[in-house]
Amino acid sequence: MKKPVVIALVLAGMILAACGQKAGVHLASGRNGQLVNPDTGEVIGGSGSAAGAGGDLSGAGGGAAAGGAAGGGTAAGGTSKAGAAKGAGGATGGGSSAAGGGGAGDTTGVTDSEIVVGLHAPVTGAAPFPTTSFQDGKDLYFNYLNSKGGINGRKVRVVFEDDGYNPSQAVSKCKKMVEQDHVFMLVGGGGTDQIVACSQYAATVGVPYLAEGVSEQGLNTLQNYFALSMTYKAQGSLLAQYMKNVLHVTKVGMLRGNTANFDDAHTGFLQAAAANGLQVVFDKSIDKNADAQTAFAAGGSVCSNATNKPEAVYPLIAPSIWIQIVAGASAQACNPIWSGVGLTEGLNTVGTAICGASPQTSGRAHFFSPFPGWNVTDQFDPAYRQAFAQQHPSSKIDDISWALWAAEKLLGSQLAAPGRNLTRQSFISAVNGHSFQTGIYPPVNYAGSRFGGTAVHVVKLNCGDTNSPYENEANFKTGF
Amino acid sequence: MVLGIAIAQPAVFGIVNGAAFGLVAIGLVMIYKSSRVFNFAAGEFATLGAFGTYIGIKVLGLPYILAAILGVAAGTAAGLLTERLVVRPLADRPKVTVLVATAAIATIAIPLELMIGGVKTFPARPAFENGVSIFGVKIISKLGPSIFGVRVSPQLLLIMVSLIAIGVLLVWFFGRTDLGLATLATSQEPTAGRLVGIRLNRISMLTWGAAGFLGGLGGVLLAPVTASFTAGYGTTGVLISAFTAAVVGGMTSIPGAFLGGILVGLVQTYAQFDLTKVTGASSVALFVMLVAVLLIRPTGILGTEA
Repeated sequence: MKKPVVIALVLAGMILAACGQKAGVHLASGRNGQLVNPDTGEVIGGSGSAAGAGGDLSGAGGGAAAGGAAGGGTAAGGTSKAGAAKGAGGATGGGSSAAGGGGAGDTTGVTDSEIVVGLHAPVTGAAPFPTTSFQDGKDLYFNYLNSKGGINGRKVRVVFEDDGYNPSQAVSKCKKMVEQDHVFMLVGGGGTDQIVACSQYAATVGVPYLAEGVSEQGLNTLQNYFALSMTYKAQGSLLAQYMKNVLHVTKVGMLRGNTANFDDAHTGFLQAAAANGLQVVFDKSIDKNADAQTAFAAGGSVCSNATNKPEAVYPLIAPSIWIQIVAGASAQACNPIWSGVGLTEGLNTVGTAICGASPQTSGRAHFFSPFPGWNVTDQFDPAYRQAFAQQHPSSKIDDISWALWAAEKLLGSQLAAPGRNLTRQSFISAVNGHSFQTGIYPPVNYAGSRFGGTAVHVVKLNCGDTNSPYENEANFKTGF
Repeated sequence: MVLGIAIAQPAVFGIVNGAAFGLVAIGLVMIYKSSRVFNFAAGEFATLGAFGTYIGIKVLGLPYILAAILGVAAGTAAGLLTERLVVRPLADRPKVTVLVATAAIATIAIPLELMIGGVKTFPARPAFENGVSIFGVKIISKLGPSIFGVRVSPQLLLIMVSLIAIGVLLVWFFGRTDLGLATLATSQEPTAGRLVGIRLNRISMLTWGAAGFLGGLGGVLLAPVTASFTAGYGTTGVLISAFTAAVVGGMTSIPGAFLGGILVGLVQTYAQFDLTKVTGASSVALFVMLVAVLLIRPTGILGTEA
C-alpha cells in the first residue's frame, strides 16, 4: 500500500501546487520602482528621478507635444456628466500637453506602422468567464481605431494572455510578452495579485505598465506604473459614504481574500467606515483560493452573530469565491446587501451566477465599476456596439468586451499623448502629471501620483434582466 | 454565547461538508478495496452526475427525479467505460500505471467538458426546493433545521442519510455476500480467484460501475449544496478532500471513509475559520493531519491490510 500512497500523494501535491498563489510572489520581482536594462542589469531610473538625458524617463530632445488627439478619431472628446455622458468617436486624450518624445528612447514594440501592446487578464481562475468574450473584446477598440487611421499613423496590435488568476503565471505571461512578443507596454485587465506581480516585473525591465486601480502598496514607488481607475483604498472611502448615504445602513462587514495586497484596501475601508459612523460588525478574511465548500461555509458565518448581523457586506475576493459565499449566506437565511469595488464582481456573467445561486440577492448587490452599466452603452459610446457587430457578426456581445473597449479607449488616448515620437520614456513622461478623459472611464489625473482615478460608476444587480443582470445605477461619482 | 457559536458553528459546517467528502471517499475506497487502484477519475464521475442532472432539467425538461437518475446513469456509464477502455487493457500492468491512467482520464475529461459545456457556472437544483412535506404537511423547511444556529438544509440532510445508507450497504456487501467476498478475494489474489471460478472481468466491471454510480450520485447530491458547478468541479472542488478522507480513514475501510470525511471537513473548516492569515491554511492543515495519521498509523485510522 505504501508505494501507491506515496505516488498518489505526490500526484495530489502536484495538483495542489498547480493551483493558487505562491507565497511571496508579489514581492519576488521588482526593485521598488527602479527601471532596469534587462540586458545589462543597469538601473536606468529610480524612484523620483525622472529627469536626465538619453535613457532617462522624461526623454530628451525635441519631440513635438502631441496633445491628446488620436489619429483618425473624431477628436470629439467625451463630455462627461454625472448620470449621462455623450460618447465620442475615436480616442481623445484629454491631456493638455505632452512632453517631448525621447530622441534616444526605447522603441521596442513600436515601428513606423505599428504599436504592440501586451494585455493579460484572468480568463480562467477568477470566475467562469467565457473565453470567447476576451478573444472578441481584446482588440475590439483598437481594431476600430485602426480602421480610422490608428494612433498618430500607427496601428495598434494587441497580444493577449490568460494569467489564470495566478501571480506566478501572470509574471510568466508578462515575461513572455516582453521577451518573445516584444510588446511596447503591458496592460493588466484585472486581479490584484497578478497586477502587482506583473507591474513589479515590468519595472525591472523598463516596460510601461497600466492597469485597473487595485492595491497601492507595492505599486506606489513604481515609475513605470499608471492606474487606469481608482485604487481599492480610494474606492473604500467612497464605499463607506455610499453605504451610509445611499444604502442607509449602519452595520457593515467586510470579507476579503487573505492576500497582503488587500491590506491597504482593508485598512482604508475600516478607517472610512469609522469616519462615516458605520459600525463594522463582521470582518474576516478567507483563503483567496478557497474551494467551493470552504467559501460556502465562510458565507454561512456572515450572520453568525444573530444579534449583530451586518446589513451590508463588502466582498473583496475572486468572483468565483464570492458566488459561493453568497450561496452559503443565503442557505443560512442571511441576505445582506453586497456592495464593493473593483470590476469583476460587477460583470454580468458573475451576476447571472449570483442570481442562480441566490435569487433573493436581486436588488441587493451594488458594485463600483470603472465603466458604466452594459445596458446603457449607447449613451456613452454608440460606436461600441456598431464596432462589435461589424467585427464579430456571429458572436454574442457581452459586457467583457465593453470593459475592454472602455479601458482601451483610455489607453488609446494615453498612447496618443507623446505624439509621433513614441518611446517608452516619452510615453511615461507624457502620461505622468497629465490628465485624460474619454467619456466612458472616469477621468484620470496623474498630477499627484500614479493612481489617477478620480471617480466611479455604480452598477446594481437585477435578476429580472437576464440579458444584463447588472444595470447602470450612477455615473462619474466622486462622492456620495 | 459567542464562544459557543465560534466552536459549534464550524463543527456543524465541518460535519456536513465532511459528509459530502465522505460520499466520494467511499467510491474511492470501493475501487481500492477491489482493485488496489487509486481512482483519480472519481471527481469527474461526480461532475458528469451534476452535468447529467442539469441537462435533464434544463435541456430535456425532465422532472427532477428523472434528471437525477440521468445524472447517476451518466456517472455509472463513465465508470463502466473507464473499466472497459482503460482499466481492463491495463489489467496486467503495474497498479501505478492504472493509477496514472485514471489521472489522465480526469485531465482529458475536464477540457472535453469545457468544450461541450463552455466556461460558465451551471445552476444545480436541490432535491427539495421548497423543503420536505409529507401528505401536505411540511416537516422540514426550505432552510432546514437549525443546529447551534447553523441551518442544515434538506440537501445536506439527504447527503448524510445517503452516506450512512450507502456505507451500511457496502459493509454488508463486502462482509456478508459471496459476491463481495469474491471481489475482495480477486483484489488480493487474482490468479487464485480465477482458479476457483471467479470471473475477473465481471468483478472489475461491477466495481467500476459501482464506483461510477457512487461518483454520479455524489455529483447529483453535492453540486446543489453550493448551488452551482463548473466543468471540472469534481476534480478541483471535491477530489483532493475526498482522497485525503479516504487515506486518513483507511483505504480499505468503508466506515473509515465516513470518519475520514468528517475529520477532513472539521479540520478544513476550523482552519478556515481561525487561521485565515495563513494563505492556504485549510490545505496546510489538511496535509499536516494526513502526514500525522500516516506516520502514526500508515494504514489509516480504520484501515487494515485486507
